[in-house]
Amino acid sequence: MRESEAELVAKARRGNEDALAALLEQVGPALRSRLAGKISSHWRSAVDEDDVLQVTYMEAFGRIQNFTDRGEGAFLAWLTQIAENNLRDAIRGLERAKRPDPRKRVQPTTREDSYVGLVEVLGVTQTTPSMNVAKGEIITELDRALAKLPPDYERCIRLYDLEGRSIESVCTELGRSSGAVYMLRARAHERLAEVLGSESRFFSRRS
Amino acid sequence: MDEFPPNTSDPKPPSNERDLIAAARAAAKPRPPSTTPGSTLNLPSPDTFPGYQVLKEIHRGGQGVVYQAIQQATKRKVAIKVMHAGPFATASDRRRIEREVEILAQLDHPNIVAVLDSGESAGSFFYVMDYISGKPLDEYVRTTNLSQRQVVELVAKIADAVNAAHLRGVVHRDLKPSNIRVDAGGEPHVVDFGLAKVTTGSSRGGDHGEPMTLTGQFIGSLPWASPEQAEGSPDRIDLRTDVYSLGVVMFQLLTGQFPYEVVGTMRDILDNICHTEPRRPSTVRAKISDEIETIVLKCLSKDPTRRYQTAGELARDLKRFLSGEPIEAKRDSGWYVLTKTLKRYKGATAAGVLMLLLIILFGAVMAAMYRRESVAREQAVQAQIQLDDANTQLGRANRDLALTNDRLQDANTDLAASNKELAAALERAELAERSASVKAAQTGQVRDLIKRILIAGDPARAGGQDPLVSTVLDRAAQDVGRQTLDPEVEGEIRHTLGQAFFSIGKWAQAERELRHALRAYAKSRDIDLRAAARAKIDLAIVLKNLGAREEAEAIYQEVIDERTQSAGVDDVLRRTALANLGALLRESGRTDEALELLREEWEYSRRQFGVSSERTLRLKGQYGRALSAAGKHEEAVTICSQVVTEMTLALGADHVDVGTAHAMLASAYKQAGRLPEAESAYAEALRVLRISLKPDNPSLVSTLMDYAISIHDQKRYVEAEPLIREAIRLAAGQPGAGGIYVLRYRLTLGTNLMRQDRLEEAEHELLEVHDAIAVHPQRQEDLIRISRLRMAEVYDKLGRSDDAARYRDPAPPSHED
Repeated sequence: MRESEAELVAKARRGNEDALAALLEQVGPALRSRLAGKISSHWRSAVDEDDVLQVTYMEAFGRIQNFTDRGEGAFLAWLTQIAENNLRDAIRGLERAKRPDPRKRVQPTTREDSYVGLVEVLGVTQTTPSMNVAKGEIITELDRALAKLPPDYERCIRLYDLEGRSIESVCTELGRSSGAVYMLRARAHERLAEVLGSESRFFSRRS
Repeated sequence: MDEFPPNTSDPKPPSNERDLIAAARAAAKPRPPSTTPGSTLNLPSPDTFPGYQVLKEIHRGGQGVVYQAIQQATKRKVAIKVMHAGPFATASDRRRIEREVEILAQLDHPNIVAVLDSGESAGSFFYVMDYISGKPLDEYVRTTNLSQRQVVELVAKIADAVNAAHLRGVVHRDLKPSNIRVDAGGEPHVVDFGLAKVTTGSSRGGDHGEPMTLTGQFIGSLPWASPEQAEGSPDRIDLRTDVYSLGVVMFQLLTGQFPYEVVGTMRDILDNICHTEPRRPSTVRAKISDEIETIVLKCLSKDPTRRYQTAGELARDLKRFLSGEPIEAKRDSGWYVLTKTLKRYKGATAAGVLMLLLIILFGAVMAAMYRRESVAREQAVQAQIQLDDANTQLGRANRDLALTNDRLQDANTDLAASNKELAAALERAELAERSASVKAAQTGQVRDLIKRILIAGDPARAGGQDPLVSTVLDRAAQDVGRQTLDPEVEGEIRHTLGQAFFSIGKWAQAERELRHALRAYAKSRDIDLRAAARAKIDLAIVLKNLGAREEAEAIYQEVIDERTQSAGVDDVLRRTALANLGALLRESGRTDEALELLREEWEYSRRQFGVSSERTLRLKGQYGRALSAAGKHEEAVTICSQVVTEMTLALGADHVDVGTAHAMLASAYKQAGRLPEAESAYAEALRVLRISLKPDNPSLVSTLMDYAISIHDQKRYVEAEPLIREAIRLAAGQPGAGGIYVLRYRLTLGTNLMRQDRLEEAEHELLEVHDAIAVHPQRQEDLIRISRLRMAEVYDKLGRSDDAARYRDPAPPSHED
């Protein structure tokens, strides 16, 4: 007999990945149809439903513990929210790429600068660390935090933010569309900010 | 045109939730902290890899982390690869990779990085390789500026190395420049067999045959993936997969580009890998030699059977090139390239199909022209011969005249006769010349018409829209109607248009054009009986599909009679009409007549064309179906099994006709009550038909429905339901029979729902179907009867005995009921 959504959600939240996979299989088609028609033909060459779904599913596997079950349909609603955020981030990224704003992109001059720049972009610290003093520490912390991310998130940040590679080159390297890379990057930033935040190193006043 | 479905579309790469979820699941896992030191500043502790001292992290990828280390016992520099735990979560996964490492450790090849050791550390598997200082292949080629010849030498060495692994049963599966390092001496070394799978011996089945990675994990290597990998068919991955990847690598090294676009959405990239024919390397770099281009394109063939069958074959051909010997690879034939090109555009745009239609049209008409022009030419030649003869006789007569007056009278008579013959011959020559100029005018008409069709198909003239094939054909048909054409030319064109409409499923339009063709043929001065008979047979096929069986039968009968009189009993068109009539009779339930006719035609074809000719096999299949319909089930199964075997041998396992043969066999099994065998035969039929037919192709849809019914009949109702619904959805878009097929399928859905005890849904479905059949122009009594019986059953189960009784009553209830 097929398990109910509530049972699957409960199991998934306890860390049962098979249950989560089953749940995603159940709601996948509905999510896909919700996405259908939301990607304008203008962007279709750069992002499609599969891209959005794959990053959304990745998020689901990474963050199911954060989901609060508010009853029938809540899981689909939660997933839809993530998917819509992903799509929005992809489109924003693509739009920005058309009109590049230099302030939004870390402009690395040296390896250290790009690390510090990324921390600023993430906005994880309310007090700017003394860049000269803390550079080494930032690198160590960021490396440590990056290692805690899913590999694709980490590679996306390393290639785009830290190595300053072009979006096309990141796309080729990751074998993904530009839309998908923007989604990965946005989610990776969120996760990285959380990981860094939880380690709370950057919240201490050092400067 | 043929009774078997045309080959109309390509398979799409699979894109289903399960694949996406599996890929996401694998990708979501962060690496475990014990094996994932964050950076050079966070190396694993010295005791992580006993016997090795880690120096630094040198690579971090989707599969794991690579460290540079010193083997303490030997002081040699090594690389240690630590695999992420994710993909090797189970014991069998781990056993598999351990076995593979074992094989690689035994491989002693100068161009394969030797595996020295392996083990487990903090729950993660690691293996130790020789450390190769140097550069990844692409970077090496870019920075070293190699000549074409040097690139070929390098690739030949790599292919040799890959072949050495192949000989031990190891397929790399992830060949790409970053997995090939070139040392300071310019020697390539293939590394990272992390994705490889063992294929020797028993390992093809069961747990051993499982790919070591999930579909989504090759994502970083996608540009080098083969079509079989992109389609997510791990079962089809073999040695030739590596040959393909080597082809991509070679293309990239020679041109600096990929054979197709590899940036875009995942679906686009997968689609390009599966369907886009690679560009010719020489279109990117003009200096690339013909032979090298041929070798690269052979590696990049979408069909593994057209590639080099081993990396060793590739290496040999590269060496032949290097030593100036002729290579073994042959360029694809013009016809193969043409059909591939047309296939490439099919579906995406009407242009390909339009071209194909034009080629058919032009070919058909020109063949007819040529035939007739040959006749005219032949007549002219004959006339010339007669003219020469007459001249000779005239000369002789003149000589006679000069020589002897005695024979003057005779000679005069001869002269008169010769003059008469001369005049006749001249007249014939003039006629032939006139006929030739008529043909020339007809050719001009055809040329103009084709020009107009091409212009109509030009998106620029169609308001920027890429016109549908049917639209282009409709315009062409209208255009023909407006022209005053020679009746023969009109007949040929209308006939071709009819065939074209039929092939895209527009049966009503096909009927219209074929009737026009017949009228045109009838008007032509010297009516071409064969052409007319062909058009009649095609019309009968169309009519049968439209449900007008009686008229179809009458037409076949007419063709049979005409051809018997004009061409004798062995005429091939007469035989075709007889065979098609047999199939029609079987479908009309006249099984005995059908059986006799089909058996006779099958045996005739066997004698005339051979046991394994396509025609004989098709007729044998038809005969098998008739046996089945006549209740001779086991005999039918035997015959149909033979057809499947023989057709597979003759045409290959994935040919569309083989798919149809599997469906016939399945039907025979079903009739014989052997349901599990029927189910698997239908499944195979579907697999094959899906390769070449569009999803809504009528034959494919009816096979899908048969498959669903075979599952339903085994009482696996829940499993059958989605398949029935899919068939209904696809059939709803089909032409012909005014949706009666859809109603038939929906009746099955109603029954299925009832068997699942979903009574209210069943009632709703059956009521709608019942009412629709009752008012349908092709009201079919058996359907009404069955739907009423099912309604009664539903009401019985619902405990509504009055309603049940009402539907058991043979008289249909009025709509007010």
